[in-house]
Amino acid sequence: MDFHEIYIQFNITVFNLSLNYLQNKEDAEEITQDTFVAIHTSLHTFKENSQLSTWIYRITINQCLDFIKAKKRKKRFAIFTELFKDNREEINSGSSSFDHPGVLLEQKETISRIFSSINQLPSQQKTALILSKLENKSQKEIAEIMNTTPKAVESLIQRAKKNLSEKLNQAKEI
Amino acid sequence: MNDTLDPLNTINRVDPPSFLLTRIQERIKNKDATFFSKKTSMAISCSLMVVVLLNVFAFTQITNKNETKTSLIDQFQLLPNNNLYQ
Repeated sequence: MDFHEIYIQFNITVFNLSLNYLQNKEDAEEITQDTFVAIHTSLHTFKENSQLSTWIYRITINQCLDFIKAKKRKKRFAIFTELFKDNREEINSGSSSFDHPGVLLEQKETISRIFSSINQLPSQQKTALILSKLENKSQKEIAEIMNTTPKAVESLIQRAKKNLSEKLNQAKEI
Repeated sequence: MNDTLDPLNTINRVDPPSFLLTRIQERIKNKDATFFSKKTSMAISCSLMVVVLLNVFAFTQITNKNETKTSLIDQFQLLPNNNLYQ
């Protein structure tokens, strides 16, 4: 399969996974570009013993995690530089605003609240939850993508749901 | 818990903008056009580092040799030059 065919087959998957991970259209566009450039660069290293879709899911998730890390670093740096500035402008929070084009307008507030709690989960739990709940992947598929066992995935999802419920309850109380 | 997460089921799949493919192709083209690959540039900078380190090592060795030469001259109270008549 050549690069163009891969793009045609997987562009919607990559874009929507990035959207669900970052909840921002512009960020998802950037990640989709980065992912396909990475796919093009390392296509020759792809081993046929794993599925192409699994490999692409892994690359997309890694790109999203790197992007989040870079944003957090940028935010820390911004806070640090602000300390030495005389004119104290408002510090850019570093996290992009909620802009998910797949969310219906009447559900926007509810879903934005759920995502803000999902974003507070540890990255493994977040990944497992997104793949299971939003990408409708089976535990076996998630295990392959995350390079772990289905049992571990089951436990990750359960812990994610428990943590999420606590966080949502806390948010309600506030 | 599933009830709380149910609104997530209403999220629709979205098509990426059509310009993305053009941008990706452009980035790939630019990447291919780069003169040195990452590996090559790493190799070049490593070899330059080795050359610099070798130079520093050689320089320090020469300085040490000169020091031992002068200390020997001092020890045997020899003349530091070959002129017989001054």
